[in-house]
Amino acid sequence: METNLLDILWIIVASCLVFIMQAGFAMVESGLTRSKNSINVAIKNLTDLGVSTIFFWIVGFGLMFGSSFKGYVGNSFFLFKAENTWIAAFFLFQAMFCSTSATIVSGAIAERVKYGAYIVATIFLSAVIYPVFGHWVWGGIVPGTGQGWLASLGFVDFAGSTVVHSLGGWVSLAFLLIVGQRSGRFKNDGEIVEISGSNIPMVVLGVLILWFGWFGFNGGSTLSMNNSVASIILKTTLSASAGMICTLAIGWPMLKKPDVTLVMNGALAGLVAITAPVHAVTELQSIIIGAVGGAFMLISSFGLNKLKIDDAVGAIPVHLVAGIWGTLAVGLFGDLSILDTGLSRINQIIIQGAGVLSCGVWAFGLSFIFLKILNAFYPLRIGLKEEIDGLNKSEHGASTEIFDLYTVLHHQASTGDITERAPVEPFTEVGQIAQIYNEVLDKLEENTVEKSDYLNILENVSDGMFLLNNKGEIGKHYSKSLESILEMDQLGGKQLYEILKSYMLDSNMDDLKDFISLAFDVNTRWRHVDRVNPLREIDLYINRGSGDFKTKHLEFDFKRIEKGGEILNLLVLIRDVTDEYELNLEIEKTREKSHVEMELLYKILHVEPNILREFFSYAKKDLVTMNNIFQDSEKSSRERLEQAFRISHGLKGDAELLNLFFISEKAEEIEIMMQKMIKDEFINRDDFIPLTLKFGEIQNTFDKIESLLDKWAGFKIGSGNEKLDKSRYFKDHLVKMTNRLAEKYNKSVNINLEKLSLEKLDESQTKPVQDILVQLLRNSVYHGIESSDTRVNLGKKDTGNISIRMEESEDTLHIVFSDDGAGLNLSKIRDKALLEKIITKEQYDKLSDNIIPRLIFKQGLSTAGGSDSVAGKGVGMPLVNNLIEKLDGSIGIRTKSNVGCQFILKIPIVKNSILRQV
Amino acid sequence: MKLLIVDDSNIMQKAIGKYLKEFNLEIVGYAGNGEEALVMCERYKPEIVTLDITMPKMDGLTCLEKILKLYPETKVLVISALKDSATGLKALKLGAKGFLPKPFTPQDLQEEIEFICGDK
Amino acid sequence: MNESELKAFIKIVTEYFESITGQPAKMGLPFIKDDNTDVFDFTGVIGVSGTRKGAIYLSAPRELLQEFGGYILEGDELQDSELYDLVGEMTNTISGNMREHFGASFFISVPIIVKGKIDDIQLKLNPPVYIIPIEWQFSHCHLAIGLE
Repeated sequence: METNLLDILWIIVASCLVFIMQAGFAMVESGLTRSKNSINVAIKNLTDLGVSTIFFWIVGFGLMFGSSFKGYVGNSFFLFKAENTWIAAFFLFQAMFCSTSATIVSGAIAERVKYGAYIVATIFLSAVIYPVFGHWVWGGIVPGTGQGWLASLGFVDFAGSTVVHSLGGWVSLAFLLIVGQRSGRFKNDGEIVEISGSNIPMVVLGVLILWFGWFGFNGGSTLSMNNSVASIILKTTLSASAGMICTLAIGWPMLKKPDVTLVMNGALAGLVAITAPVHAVTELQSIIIGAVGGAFMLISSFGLNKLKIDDAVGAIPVHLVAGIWGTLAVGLFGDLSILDTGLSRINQIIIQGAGVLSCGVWAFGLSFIFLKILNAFYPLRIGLKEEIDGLNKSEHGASTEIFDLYTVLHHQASTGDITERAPVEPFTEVGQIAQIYNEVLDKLEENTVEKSDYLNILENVSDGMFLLNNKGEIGKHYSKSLESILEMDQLGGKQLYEILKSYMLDSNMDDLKDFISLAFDVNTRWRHVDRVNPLREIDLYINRGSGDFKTKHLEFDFKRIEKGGEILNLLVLIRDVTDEYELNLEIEKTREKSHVEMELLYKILHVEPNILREFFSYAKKDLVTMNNIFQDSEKSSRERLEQAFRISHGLKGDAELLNLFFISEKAEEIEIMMQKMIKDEFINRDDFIPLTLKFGEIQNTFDKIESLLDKWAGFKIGSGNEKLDKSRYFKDHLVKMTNRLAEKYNKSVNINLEKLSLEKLDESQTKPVQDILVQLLRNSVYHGIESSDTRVNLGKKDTGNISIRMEESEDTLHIVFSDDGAGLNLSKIRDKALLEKIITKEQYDKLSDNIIPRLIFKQGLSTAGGSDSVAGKGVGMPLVNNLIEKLDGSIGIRTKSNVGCQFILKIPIVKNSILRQV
Repeated sequence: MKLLIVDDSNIMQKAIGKYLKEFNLEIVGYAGNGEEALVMCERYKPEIVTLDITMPKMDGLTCLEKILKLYPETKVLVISALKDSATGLKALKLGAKGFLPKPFTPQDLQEEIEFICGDK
Repeated sequence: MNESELKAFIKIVTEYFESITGQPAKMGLPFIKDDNTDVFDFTGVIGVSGTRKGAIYLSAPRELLQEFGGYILEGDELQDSELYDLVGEMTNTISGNMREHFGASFFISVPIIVKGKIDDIQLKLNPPVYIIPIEWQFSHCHLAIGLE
């Protein structure tokens, strides 16, 4: 062959263009598949280029273009050596074609086949299937090698619609039928699950590169830079455009969207279809061929889906189907003179069909058998796990950022553990996403931790704690203790105001409303608001039904929660300080009580405990008696009053005897009240009210003293000397009382008790006798003994004398009470008795001096000028009379003016008392 | 008109019913506490309610508020021993048509009911 | 307790009887509750809280309640069960009316009723407990006030 350098240059340039198509295929295939497989797909494209080139060099080129053995196979040029420039360029060009055919397979079977299996298949394709079939069609291009049998029959495939594209498609089909669909591609009901490509813009660029490469693929197939090259490239482009437009025109309405694959596969189908007839058709025909190619491509891709043949990039519709159509189009449209096969159009068409068929039988049949056998020894397909993980990882151990991100996300989704962070590759988009994702996670984790900490606190804190919004509602999360503090459940969203309303005083509630509105007013300084917190310390009265109230003492503390100058909430803390408060109260009470007790103690300290105890036991009895008198509704009010009056007088005397003034003063107050009431003609019952309150007071005092006495250390019920002691103490107190009364009335009195001993008395008699003596002593000091001056004037000693002695007869005790005073004023007594209506005028006139003294025992008769605690109420002597009656005794009076007065008590000796003494 | 009597005392329920016998009122029920009263209000939709305050479970003032929230047209006469003006004031503020302190005579009650019914 | 408070209670009770029955009631002589103080057949106790703390009870014999209830129900006979009810209502009315004196912060509970002698009632009473006997229509009852 003549060496024309321009032709060689063109073949080299075309080879470069076809080479570039490898890049186009790589981009289309990896762009249309998922990123987890993208590396695998891309690397297959590169691998098949290298592998196919080597095997095409070893054996392929020889089989294809070597000297023909009967038109079936070439048998020279193995381990190719370039004998001249042209053949070197030609080899290069043909090697690129072979690689192209191999590459078609990689796209179709993407995402499921082992890398190794693909390499084996590529070797088989480039070493056997492609070159043998290629020989049939193109054998004899190298001068002197002899034509292939299909070529001799008149089969025309200008640039390889069948030889390159269909053949690749057939092998793909065989491969797909053996390895099957990708997992999840079709649902059980046959519905298609779209698997979206990872990078469509790259696919588009890939298509553009393929289109560009096709200029070399078709244009270079002239193998010389002749007049037809430009027209071939033009028609190639027209067909591609027509394929694209037609597919779009049909597919858009059908799919209701301009699917990306329509545009790109449409263009590719147009390119594949025009490859065979491009040199022998017109521009218009090439447009038709492209358009119909696009249509067949579209229809066949629907058909494949129906058959559930999962072609990952549409290689079969584009390369096989459009390739078949292009091959047939040679017969249909080809200019017979250019084809120059000498066949009629019909025969040409038949031969074209035969070519297509023989390709199918050869390429599909042989590869199917081969792959089936291979599959039996070495499974072509990867495992499910590897498929799910993606071939990048499972086949190559290679990873992409997005895969790593995916792995982290998957781990987090399945374990719920969000502590792991996505790997960050700062220079990639996915890396940046990962970085932001990590930031989101940080924030989320922080918030989640914060929230769970917060809820944990709420669960365990003993205070009531919650957020209050500006509507006065309690927030959704509040401390568990709040429910027990407020004794109410389900507090979230409830109005604080409503809850507190039933527990609180109204005045506080109004303040609370004002306070909350102030607290949410940004214009008010918090320090001011905080100062007027109406709930700082507050009592809640909780009605628990069944008649008891629980008083809770609570402290409320409010804090503003602000953000960006806005008050979001109030944080409210409620402390239940009831226990502390009550303890303090108790301590305060105890302190007060001990203070009162100490005071009481000072007041009673001077009294011997036994005496004191005796006094109080009597005094309490007196009080109960008085209370009982009032309770007794049988008697008239006046009777009851008089009865009570006498008792109170006795009580007062006893208290005075022991110098217990704080008691005698109260008894005095009661006496005055009662006296006033008795004096009135009608007894007003309302007047009993203050009297009762007074009783209440005294009883309170008594209760206190009683508890005090119980506490008094060393307070024991007496020994054998009890009586003796008692007698001595009584006498002591009589002396003290005399001195006190004398001092009070400015008199000088001496009392002689040497011959008085109370031991002789029975226990039951002691108290009445004591009471009688106290009354007599009181009377004597007040009425009997004159002042020192008077006594001196009367020629008496300035000091008056009182003596009490006791004598014993057979069965009677005689107690003689004498004074050397003025004696009874008989006329005064008589007058007073008349005045008080104790005696009538008639009686008044007739009364003898013997009888008059007995009048002093009548109630209400007192000759004293005014009344004070000692005398003047006319109650002392009637009390004496009562007591004597009680003792079953008698009393005699001897009196002599200015000489003195004597009372002689006669009391029966109680028998068992004597026995006991014996 | 339909009348509901709410009082925790049976005697008072009876008495109120009795005192209002001459009125053309249909007594739809007697309730002994606020919760019961609410249920009966829902069931019978009474036009007039006499309502005690101190009751177990739900007190009268709370009940008053709830009744009027559901049926604002209801004429409620609060009858309570809580004689202080603040309680009466609160009842009226919450929307009661009248406030009658206990103890009351039949005449007191009748006048009060007449007044409320006349108040259209 | 002071005089005016005690008087206010008495006024409420006596007026209560008179306003319902037209028959005047009279206060007997008040006294301090002690261990000997009896209660009548039925006793209504009301717990008090707020400005005052403690309890109040009204204790009345069957006959008095029968008669008083007869006035309220315009002559109807009262069942035994209704006597409980009545003594509770009476206690409630009396203590409720006390709000006029003590103000709205004088909280009173729903009454509990005790038949016969019960020591429990003493638990809530704050001593000294003042007993105000009431004489009405030949029978007696009494009001006990045990407030702080």
